[in-house]
Amino acid sequence: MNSLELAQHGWGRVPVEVSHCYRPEKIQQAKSICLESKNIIPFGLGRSYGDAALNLDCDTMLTRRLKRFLSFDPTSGVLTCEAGVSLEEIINFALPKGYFLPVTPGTKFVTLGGAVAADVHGKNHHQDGCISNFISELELMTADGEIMICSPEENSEVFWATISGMGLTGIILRISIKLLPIETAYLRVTHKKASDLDTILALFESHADTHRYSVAWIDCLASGKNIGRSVLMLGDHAELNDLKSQLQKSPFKPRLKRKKNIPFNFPSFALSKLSVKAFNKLFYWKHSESTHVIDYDQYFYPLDSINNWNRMYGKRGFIQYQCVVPWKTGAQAIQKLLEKLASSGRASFLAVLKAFGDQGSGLLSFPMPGLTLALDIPNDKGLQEFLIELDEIVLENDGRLYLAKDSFMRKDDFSQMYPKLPEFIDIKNRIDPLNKFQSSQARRLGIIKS
Amino acid sequence: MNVLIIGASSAMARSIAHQADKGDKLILLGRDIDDINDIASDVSLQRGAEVHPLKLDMSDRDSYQKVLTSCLETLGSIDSVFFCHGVMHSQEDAADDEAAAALMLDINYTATVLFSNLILKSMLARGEGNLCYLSSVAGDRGRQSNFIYGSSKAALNTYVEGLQHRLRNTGVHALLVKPGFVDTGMTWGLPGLFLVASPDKVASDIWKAVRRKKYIIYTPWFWRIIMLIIKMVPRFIFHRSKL
Repeated sequence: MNSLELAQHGWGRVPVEVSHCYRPEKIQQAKSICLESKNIIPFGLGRSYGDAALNLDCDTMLTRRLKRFLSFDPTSGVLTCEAGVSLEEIINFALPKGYFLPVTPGTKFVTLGGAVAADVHGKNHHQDGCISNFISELELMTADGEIMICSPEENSEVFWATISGMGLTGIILRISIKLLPIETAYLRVTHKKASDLDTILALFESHADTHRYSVAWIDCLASGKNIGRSVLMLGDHAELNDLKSQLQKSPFKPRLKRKKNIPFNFPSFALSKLSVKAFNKLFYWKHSESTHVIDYDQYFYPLDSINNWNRMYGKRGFIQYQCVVPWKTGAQAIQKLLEKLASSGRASFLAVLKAFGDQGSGLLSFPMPGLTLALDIPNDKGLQEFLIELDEIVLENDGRLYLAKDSFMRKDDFSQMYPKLPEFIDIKNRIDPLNKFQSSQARRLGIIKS
Repeated sequence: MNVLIIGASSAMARSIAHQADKGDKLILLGRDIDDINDIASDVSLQRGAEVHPLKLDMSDRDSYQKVLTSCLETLGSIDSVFFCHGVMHSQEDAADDEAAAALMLDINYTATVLFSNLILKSMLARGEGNLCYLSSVAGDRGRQSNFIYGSSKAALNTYVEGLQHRLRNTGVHALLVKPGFVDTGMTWGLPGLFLVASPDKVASDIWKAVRRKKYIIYTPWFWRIIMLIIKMVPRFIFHRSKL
């Protein structure tokens, strides 16, 4: 098989790393690549932010040509497809049949394989958990090129290591996922405003059982008594009679907005403290407390409507910092993190707060009961040192960082945050004793001893 | 429409199959039957067409008649046939490795002609049908970097050209497709590619040309101009180039 030397990066556009890229179009080709390569990581749509799918000077397997739909049961809603299928493609396939993704992250431009490897969560984590709760089976190509069928019943240890395993157990070839039956392609959304942190936390608590989806946009530049100023967005799948009569005729065919594109890197002052501050004020005051019906694209994927929105941060790139802190000290921790951010002079254009439900079974799965905060921070000077300060707050409060977003976490912090890491490494050593599956992230975090 | 796609696991063939619609019946033929099975499920699920996978190894000439009979039994009649099978070895491999060169020439040219001759009989008897042959711009002028592969396609071009002549007023139509660089497994990682087109774009051009009963298309279209220029370059200049 031929390979192509490409400089790859994640969604944050830092770091950029060169690797030998293979792109199989058949399972047989994936097998020969697996057998030939000494050091490889699968790469889907490149939507993890940092170096999770990068493999400096080694090999990557681009999985986007393995994206076939293999079976669908219209009564149970179980779809089996190859791991290179994107969530967008699943929606386009399933929506006209009355089904939707049971769990979706904030972008539909990720592969199903990537979603499983990071055990992604969505706005419904407090009720439904991670995507792994809906995966009934997967096929894994292991280091010897053989296919292992894994499910919670069969090869369950490897299954729970592959779920959230960041591609380090092998190449996921196919996945069976149980989709969610829905009546319409729309959501009934309620906005609630919170003037400070206590208010938003109380809102999360009181609405935990009442709505399937909840997430808060938070003004991370608000300071003093305004810290935590936010807009809570609650959502549920709309039923047919929630729709206006003209929409009821074709409830699964929303007229989606046209996509915009950011054709070039913005200059770095475009997203500065000043512009973000203005935007945040406007955003907060513009949102009134109201309930309305919007299509799934606007609710779940507001940023997907702008192609290449990561170019807004300019050439410097950006990182997304997402942490979770357990309930016990969650509120104080979030307060500290926001204070730290506000006093640093760094601006986060996007800041999102959400309450998580129960911990899943994926060994390196990110969510735990508590509060999660996600910040987009431009890659300006001194960023790494600043992130270490944030990491310390997270560690003090027994929290952890999300591997799909991470690019700077330190080895020791990581092993402290993920207590099931030794168990993961045991299983990895068993099925991949030569460490054929590696990534830059895995080496940085000491999952693979270099 | 009842369609045969030969060499169905190539990226271009997959895209051609994906242009099918509800009501179409497809038979996908190829060597790697596991892969063909997956593509068949995919096309039938996503496009709603009726799709049958069938094993065919183009290097096994003795199997042609049997495979074709089974296709006719499944479909009743055949409206369109897409010849998408092909082998490309690098110039160095083809020059040094006798078996590799023989296989490439055999699959790209001989196998196409022999299989095509068999299908023609049933199409001529019926007085209708479309034949579509995937050739390459590499067949337009021999270049030092790729002429063994190129010559297999040039031979095919002449065959199709003559066939088009033969088919005049028979109701059967033959289309010759000359794709430029297409982003497939065949070209992935090759040096010196430019203006690479997606397989989906090429597939949609091909279907359009089949419907419009075109004789020769370059896809994307600008390859017609590029190849015209390449063909016009005088030999004494051409031979100094690295092409």
